[in-house]
Amino acid sequence: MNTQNEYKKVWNFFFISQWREEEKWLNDMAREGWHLVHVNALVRYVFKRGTPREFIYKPDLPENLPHGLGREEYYNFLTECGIRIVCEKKQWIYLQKRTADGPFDADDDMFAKLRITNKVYGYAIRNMCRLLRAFTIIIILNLCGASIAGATMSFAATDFFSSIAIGVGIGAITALTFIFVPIITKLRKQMNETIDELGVRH
Amino acid sequence: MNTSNNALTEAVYYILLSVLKPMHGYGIMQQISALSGGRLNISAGTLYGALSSLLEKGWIEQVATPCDSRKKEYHITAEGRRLLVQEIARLQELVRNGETILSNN
Repeated sequence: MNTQNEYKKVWNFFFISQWREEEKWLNDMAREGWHLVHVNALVRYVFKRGTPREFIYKPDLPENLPHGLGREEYYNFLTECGIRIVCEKKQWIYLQKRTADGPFDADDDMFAKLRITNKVYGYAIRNMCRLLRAFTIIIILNLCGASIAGATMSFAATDFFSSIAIGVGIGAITALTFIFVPIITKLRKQMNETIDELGVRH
Repeated sequence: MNTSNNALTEAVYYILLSVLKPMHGYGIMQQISALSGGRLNISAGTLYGALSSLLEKGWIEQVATPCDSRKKEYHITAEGRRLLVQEIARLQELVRNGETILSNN
């Protein structure tokens, strides 16, 4: 095949709560013959030209269960089921499966839907906590800096440290209000809908 | 997965039936599909979650595969077998009641 080494880079961004949109987009690309090869830290997707519809794709998060089977076993298990891990992006893994082997989950598999939604929800909360922790540490360090500077009467330094503390504080509140709260609310809604359906037919 | 009246989900019921003999994960998926005549296809993620929680409950256990130590097989425990028998009795009750009441109305 002369098209074997044709690559395409696409910039695209999805919020954590949009993993279903991301899944749909990756499969639309695959239908046109563009198969995922790599995703970089945030937004750049690399595709390789191949046979249209040969594979299907799914973003997933590794299982992180406190008991039973661990991460490595999950990977081995997926491989055994004919699923290949194409690449990893932060904690996300991108799964590939032959279209002929059937879908990743049946459409009515509410339990599978709940598992993935729950994993994404946990991931969003962990990220929010990590960010808040980082913001808090920066604010505390700057407040310490400001009070030390205040004690030594260097007022320019006091202003400097306290304005950083205030700036980071505003940043944290903004990130929380406009990014994390909407994402987590949306994920909760998705989870509740799935739980409702699970109650009717599992 | 296990409500107060001990009803098992369909997936768990078929998993327990499949591991009466030691079997690896992919084998369980195929077995479930075959047993249900292709009606029930459980995803790798769902099976993985179910196996993890059954291991924790002690209803199944992991056994080493003789030929490949990386490949794990799962086998029902005495407790798992007891619950399976109990579940079959419960299912029989459901069917019996359904048939009796339907035929009388």
